[in-house]
Amino acid sequence: MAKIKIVHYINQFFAGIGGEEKADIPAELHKGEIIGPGAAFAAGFGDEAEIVGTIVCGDSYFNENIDKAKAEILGWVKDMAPDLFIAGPAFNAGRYGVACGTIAAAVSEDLGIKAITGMYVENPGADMYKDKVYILETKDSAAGMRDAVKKMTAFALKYAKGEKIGASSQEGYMNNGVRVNFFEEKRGSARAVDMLIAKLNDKPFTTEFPMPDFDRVEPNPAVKDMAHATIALVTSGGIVVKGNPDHIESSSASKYGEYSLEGVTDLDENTFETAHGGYDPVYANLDADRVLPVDVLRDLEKEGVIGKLHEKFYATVGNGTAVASAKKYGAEIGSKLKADGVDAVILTST
Amino acid sequence: MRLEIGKINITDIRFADSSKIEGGVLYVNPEDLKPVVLEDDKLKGVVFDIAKPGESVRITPVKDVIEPRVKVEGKGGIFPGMIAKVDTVGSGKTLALKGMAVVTAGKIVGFQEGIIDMTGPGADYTPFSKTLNLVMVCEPVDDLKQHDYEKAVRMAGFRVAAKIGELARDLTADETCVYETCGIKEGIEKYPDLPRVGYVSMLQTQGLLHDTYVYGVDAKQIIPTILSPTEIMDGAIVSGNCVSACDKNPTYIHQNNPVVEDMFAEHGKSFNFVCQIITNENVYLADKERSSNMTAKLCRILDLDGVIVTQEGFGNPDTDLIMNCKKIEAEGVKTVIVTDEYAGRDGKSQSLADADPAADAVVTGGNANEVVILPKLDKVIGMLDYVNVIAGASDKTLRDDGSLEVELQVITGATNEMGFGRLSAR
Amino acid sequence: MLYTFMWHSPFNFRNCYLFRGGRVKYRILTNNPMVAEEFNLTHEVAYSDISAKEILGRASEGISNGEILLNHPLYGSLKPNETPYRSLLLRKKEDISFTAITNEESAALIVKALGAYEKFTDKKETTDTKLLKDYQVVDLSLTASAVAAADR
Repeated sequence: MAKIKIVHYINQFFAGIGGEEKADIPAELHKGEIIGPGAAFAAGFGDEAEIVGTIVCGDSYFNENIDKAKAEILGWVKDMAPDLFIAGPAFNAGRYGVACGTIAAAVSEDLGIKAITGMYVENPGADMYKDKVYILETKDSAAGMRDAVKKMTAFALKYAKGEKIGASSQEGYMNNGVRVNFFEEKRGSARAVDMLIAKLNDKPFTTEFPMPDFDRVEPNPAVKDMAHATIALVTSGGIVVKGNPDHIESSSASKYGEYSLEGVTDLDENTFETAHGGYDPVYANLDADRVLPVDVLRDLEKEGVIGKLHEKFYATVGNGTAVASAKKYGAEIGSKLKADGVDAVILTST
Repeated sequence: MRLEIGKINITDIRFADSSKIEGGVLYVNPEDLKPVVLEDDKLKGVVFDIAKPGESVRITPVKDVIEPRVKVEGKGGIFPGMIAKVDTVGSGKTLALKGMAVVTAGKIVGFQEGIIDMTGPGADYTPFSKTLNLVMVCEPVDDLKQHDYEKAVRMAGFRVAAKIGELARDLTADETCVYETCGIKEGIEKYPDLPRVGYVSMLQTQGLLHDTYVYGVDAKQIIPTILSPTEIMDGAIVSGNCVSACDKNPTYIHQNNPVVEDMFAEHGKSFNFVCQIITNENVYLADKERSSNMTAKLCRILDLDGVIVTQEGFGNPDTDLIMNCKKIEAEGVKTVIVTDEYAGRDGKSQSLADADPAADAVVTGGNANEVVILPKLDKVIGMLDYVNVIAGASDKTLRDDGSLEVELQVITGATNEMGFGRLSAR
Repeated sequence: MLYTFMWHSPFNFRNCYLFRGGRVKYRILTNNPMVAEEFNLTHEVAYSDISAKEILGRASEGISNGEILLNHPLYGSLKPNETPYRSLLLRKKEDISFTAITNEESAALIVKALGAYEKFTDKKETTDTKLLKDYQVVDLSLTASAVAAADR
């Protein structure tokens, strides 16, 4: 049987070109070459499969020129016509993970070529793409490379050969919402007893059927007396003090910022801007009130409709930010607002 | 209550001139059993057959599966309120014929599913491919109403199982298991440091072909109550449920309730297994509210720390399951639920008809919509007449080569919601 | 039920009487002729020869006019699209007796049930009379158990 042909996608860091400072290198095709983690994959494949080409692309370049980069890479992959496309593993590198997910999904959907990737479960690319391509779960840093390659190699061969793919818990891919049957070691009642014992003892357990996402927040009762209420503004639209002093990332934000509104009645292009990389920033940069409506709230303050506008606002970038991070920021911001005696918050997005 | 179950291992079933159990072999003379069936004037004929593990045999449509047992010490008899007096059972000593089952088959309604394959891929999914099966296909008198037919076959199955159980009365058990639960105060004194747990067993109670009986009472008329988990081992709960083969609980599974069995294994070690709570799954919404309220209240009054909840069926019982889970959790009682899934043939649909974040510990018996190909087998016990119309089948079901393309739904016990099997899904 | 035997007149007096007595507080929406026949003399039955899914649609209309569901719109084991029949009990808007759920919850329940209908789409229509009768009998039995609960 002919060897399985594989094309591998990696970023500038794993290609050995450089770190953040080289993240803007455009996509390049290395036909017939095996680069970086590709060597470990090749060793794992043995005689069964070969890497026929490696594509290297800077993470910033990919994310900022997504249409162009995608089209270029898809063209190359189409020409090489591999049996399987592997991207990463990306571990916990956010933009790399998003790039791996994006390109693997595009290869699979647009070219009809099987594609997989691997990353850490909290990588924002995981939530975005786990229902589109198989994403093998890895550790959170490149220290987990050996383990990641082993998992991905085994899965890649099985998938490329067209063998039946079992359930996520058996194969090591992230749950993609597709329910797959398999036989467990223990019968259901014994598993239920084990789960009950774990639950009784506050030990961790994994439900076999996660309930659909219920992360709904019950609305608070309406504010009775708006005329005396303190209202705060919070945004995921990336509005920051000009110059982005906290260096909030344009995507996959790892933090949020707290900024003063004392004496500010109107946001203008000299004092505020957006850090967000997911929408055309021109109009937000010209007048950041379009995202964070300070001007209107100052008017309402003057008219006596609201008591006052809270003197601080909080901002982060929602673009590709992991749900877990967003939750954490939300909880922290909420407790600060509460401590400051804020009565209500207006949340704005983009 | 303390119950000893003496296990008599049955290694073969043969037709013979006289009915007896000898050397682990059950010899049956069908002529001895026929009168037991035909004493009900609603039935005019019965055919007995034997199906053994590994044989190329398909049994369909299966109605109920029953394990023959006999009560040798203690109050009452097997199947109280049905064919024995309504004495409270669950203490003393009972002998059970292990490795075999009485299977009632026959088409009560046209769309009734229920397939047991003794070999091939279908055999992997049904627990009853591993038992020696004495199958009885009953023929009703002409123009018998479905209600009467269901009842006649249900009761005939119990009578036959009891008759066979009687053959073991004087035998010595190959193995004996003892199950014992304590009174409330006794349990607290005996296991002061162990968490107190219960088992909430939801019974299918929708109407014709969907009913369950407790000591002879149609369970749709009960309000939730408490049993010693040993009572069901003597047949206190029996099935009158004919549809939803994959996730209905045949009488055999009530008798051998796997949750009860596995909770007893941890009783006195990881927790104190206090009792079984039974509740129903009625069609009427107010009944659902009342029953789930009562169930949660019982958990609270009994000071339980945790419960396992199992359901039966799909669709509106999911609502009962989630109501029970939500309300029991709200009482501060930690809850694990056991269900199965209907996620569509591609596994992509929402699995349950109802859901709630309180249900954070779920055990699943697998996706009942998954498609399986069952090859043509040499012999069919029962009939394949309506196989195209049963749940989980389609107009493509009966294929040219005689094989069946069906969903797991049609296979008896495939996705059992008491956790009887190993099938699961992720 | 006493009055079962009293109504052979072609005039539809019974609803007036029963309403005056406060007896019938709900109507039965059904596409099952057997249910219509069984309850026609004692209850208000809205029978239409439409699909089971359309019955859910009709119920939805009733609910948007203030009615409340008394029984669950899904069966206990029969799968949606498996049986062609469905019967639903709807408490009337003008009635004030106790119900398990609210009007809003009724609407939500119907939406969920319709979702289940979308999921099971591969069953074919049957024209086999014997089979249809069996489906009718089972639907009648499940409906009768709801009616018994509603009337007690």
